[in-house]
Amino acid sequence: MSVGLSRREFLKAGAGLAALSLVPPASGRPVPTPGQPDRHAGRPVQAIPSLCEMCFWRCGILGKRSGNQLLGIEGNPDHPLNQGRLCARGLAGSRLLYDPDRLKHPLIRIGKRGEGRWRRASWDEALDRVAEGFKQTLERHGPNGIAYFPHGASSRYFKALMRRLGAQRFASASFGQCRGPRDTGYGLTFGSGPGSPERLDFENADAILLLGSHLGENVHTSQIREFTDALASGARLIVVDPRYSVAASKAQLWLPLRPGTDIALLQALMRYLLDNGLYDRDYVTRYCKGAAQLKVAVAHATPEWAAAVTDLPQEKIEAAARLLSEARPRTLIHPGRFSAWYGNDTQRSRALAILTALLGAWGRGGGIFPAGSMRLGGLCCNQAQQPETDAPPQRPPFIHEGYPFQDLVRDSQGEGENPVGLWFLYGANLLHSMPDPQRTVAALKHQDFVFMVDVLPTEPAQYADIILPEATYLERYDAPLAVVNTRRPFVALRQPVVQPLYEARDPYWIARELGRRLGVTDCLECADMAEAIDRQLAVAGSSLAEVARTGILDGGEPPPYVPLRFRTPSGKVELYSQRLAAASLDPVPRYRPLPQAPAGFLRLSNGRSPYHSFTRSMNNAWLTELAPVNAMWLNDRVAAAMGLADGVEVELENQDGVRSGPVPLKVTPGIRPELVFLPHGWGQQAPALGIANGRGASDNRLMTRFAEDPETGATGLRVNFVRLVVDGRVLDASGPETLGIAPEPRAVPMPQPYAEPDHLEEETEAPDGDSDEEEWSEWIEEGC
Amino acid sequence: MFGRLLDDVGENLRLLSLLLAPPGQDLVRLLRSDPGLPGGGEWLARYQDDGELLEHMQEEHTRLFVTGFPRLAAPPYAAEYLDEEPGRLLASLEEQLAATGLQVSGRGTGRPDHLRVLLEAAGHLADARGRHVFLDRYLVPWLPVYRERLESAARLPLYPALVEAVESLVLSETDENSHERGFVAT
Repeated sequence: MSVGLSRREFLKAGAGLAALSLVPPASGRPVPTPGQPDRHAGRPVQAIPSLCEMCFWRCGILGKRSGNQLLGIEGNPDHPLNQGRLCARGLAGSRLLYDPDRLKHPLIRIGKRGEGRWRRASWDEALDRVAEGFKQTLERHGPNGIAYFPHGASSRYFKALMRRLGAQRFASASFGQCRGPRDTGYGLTFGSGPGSPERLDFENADAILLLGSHLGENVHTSQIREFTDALASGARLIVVDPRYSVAASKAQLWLPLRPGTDIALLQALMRYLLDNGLYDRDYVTRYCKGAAQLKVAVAHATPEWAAAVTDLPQEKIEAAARLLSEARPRTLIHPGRFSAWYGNDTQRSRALAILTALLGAWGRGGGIFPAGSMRLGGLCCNQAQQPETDAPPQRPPFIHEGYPFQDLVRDSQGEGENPVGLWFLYGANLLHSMPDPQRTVAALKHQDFVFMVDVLPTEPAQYADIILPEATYLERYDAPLAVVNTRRPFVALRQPVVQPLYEARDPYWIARELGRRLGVTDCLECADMAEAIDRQLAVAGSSLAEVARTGILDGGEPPPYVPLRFRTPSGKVELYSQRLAAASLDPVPRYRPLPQAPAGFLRLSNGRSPYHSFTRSMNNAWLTELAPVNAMWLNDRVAAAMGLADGVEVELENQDGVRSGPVPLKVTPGIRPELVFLPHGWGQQAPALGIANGRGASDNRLMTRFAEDPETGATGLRVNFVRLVVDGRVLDASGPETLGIAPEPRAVPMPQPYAEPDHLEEETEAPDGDSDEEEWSEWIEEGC
Repeated sequence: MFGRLLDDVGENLRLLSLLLAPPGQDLVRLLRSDPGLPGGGEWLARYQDDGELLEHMQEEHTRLFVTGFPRLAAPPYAAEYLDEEPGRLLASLEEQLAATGLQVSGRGTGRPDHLRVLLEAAGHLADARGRHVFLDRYLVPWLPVYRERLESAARLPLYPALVEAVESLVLSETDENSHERGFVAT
């Protein structure tokens, strides 16, 4: 039993815990103080230029602060990307900063995993524990025993540290659930991806094709503005989507195809262009290889055949092809962004890329313009000192880096040859971004050590051993961003608008402190993020002090449209991919029918709400007021046959008996009868999130199955099926045949054997250039 | 009914703020040796081991004031209850603190509208009238709701009792008819 203490002694002894002090502000680099003069309650208000992170688009913001308090956020009118405009999420950023549920201090679990018992800890104690977890894992399993799940721009600091430790088993939703197949498909075709933001020349486009892109629901501020400006200027729009999306409502031609038949439609468009001489013959002759093989591959894809497969009128398919051709090369084929749908996703992206090439729209005005170039210094990390590592486990041939998530889950349950013992989650809500969350939970529970760094206690937090609080984007620097995917390249800077609240720290500091505890002294050796940024900007001839004033460093004149250069093995646009052929994969996209829905089930599709960024904004009070719950779309004829009315609350049950909901029903003719649609992000079971917890239904929870994209290992999730549950009764849906819809032909003509691609024996070196290299060689963590 | 905590009002406010800080061995010692302290009492006898007691207090403090599993049922921030934009309320508060030569220290509570900050700030105000206005503006409107929520969420008697003592002291301080300052009346 302890020795007694008096109240006055307690008061005296507790001086170190005082909530207030008389000392000057904390030492360290001061928050920059540029901005417009203004007053709030007699004090100056400063406008700090920085970058939003309510989604990954990184619009320019002005954070209005008084003292260390954020009064509000406005768009930065001088920012080249959003030019002063912000979406609802950007404006609601202050509610993230002041979210009472935020992670405030390091937490150490004191109960069992999932029990939710924690105690506040000091940074030293928490980081020591994390370092111990790494040491034990390295000793027991080696570097292959470490799994890192990154998200967001600052993940590169942790990634540098992981690499320095020899760990290479990374898996990110931004690749496997979003842009991986797209960038791979375009990379195999053109030698580089379409960029992020995509390099889309809306301003000069005469025709736009969206295939499953939900612009308007998927709000990326500058792209939406450019898109609507293009429509206002008379650009014609084709939307291919089984759902009447916001974008479809603006289209001249809406093609509500049968789900999963996209490649068949794209093949038919290609064949029509080729057969009727409607493609850009000069472009194809000068820049492309494999046209003969492409013709063979699409020979069967007549409009009649595609009409039967896609359930679209033949004349609409032909009209779409003619419309695109009439506008060429000012034809903008949107490459999409969220591309992991059915497991054939690299091939579908290849088909989009090839269609773009046939229209001569890559590297041309009105199509996809060339990337600019801005050079910045690298991280403060000596990767040359990377240690010898164990042989890396096998992985799909065209994954950019890291490993498929499902492989890591498998190896985390003792099922693989390369057991994983440590999971590090950096801002990654794996239970709402990766397939089969139930299996993910099992893997989390099986780990020797789990730790996470995040701003909010998201759903996986329940299974962590240590939780470290990250500063929000309004409280920290991030690595300067070279934006080369706009017509005029620039560097944008994220800088603190206010000093961090609570004990939240920036990821550079966390990574550095962890590294020191693991004996790594030659990685992240800069004293702090500001010094690291200064070094990076010095390579561009600038400095942190200079860029901090406006938040922007202009990159000068945009690159010319010509000459076109392609970083493919042949140096040309590869309509036929020898790399794919060498990997025994389809060298030209080929259509294969998808497995059909079990009787009584409907295919589950998902998408975005303009008010939310997946799960990340679901605890935001303002945004929840705008969009409190998701609604499930159901075709009106199917609903009538089931006796369901608009607004009825339903639960969803998938083919494996997993349920989610309830959600209200949105009954509409604007969706095909084989399909239901559920906006993503809701349905979290995160007890520590006071607003988000238990609100709406989770699409991801219902996605217990996936189709793996063989090129990349990405996981298509639109291969799950649901039934509706009303008042506890499970209802079977009517099949489309009962509504008069002809079944899809299952037999697809086999293409003739390919001849050797023209001139492949004359393979050329990829031309020199500095614009696309990084994008194709290193995966950049950005949201979907 | 709690008796006098300490003689001086300011000291009482600062002591209560400190009692709401992350618990350590000192708080265990004080609770063990001072049965009249708000939050003390028979429940402590359930814990023979100080280490176990401290861990449970730390868990409770974390759950009620830091990160709640499940949810932070009673956020200890004035802005959550005063229906004002957090940034603007915090800016006003920060300004008031600065006028008194104070600022929120280090990385402890993080926000100037935290219950502990408000108590300590009031404790530093020497002028009774100024203290009255400060408490009336920033604490009185939300303390009853906050206490109720905290009582519902708490698993140990410690923090509801401390917040009840806070409420009593604050109401007593802001009661125009109160002639006896420095007592916690319940």
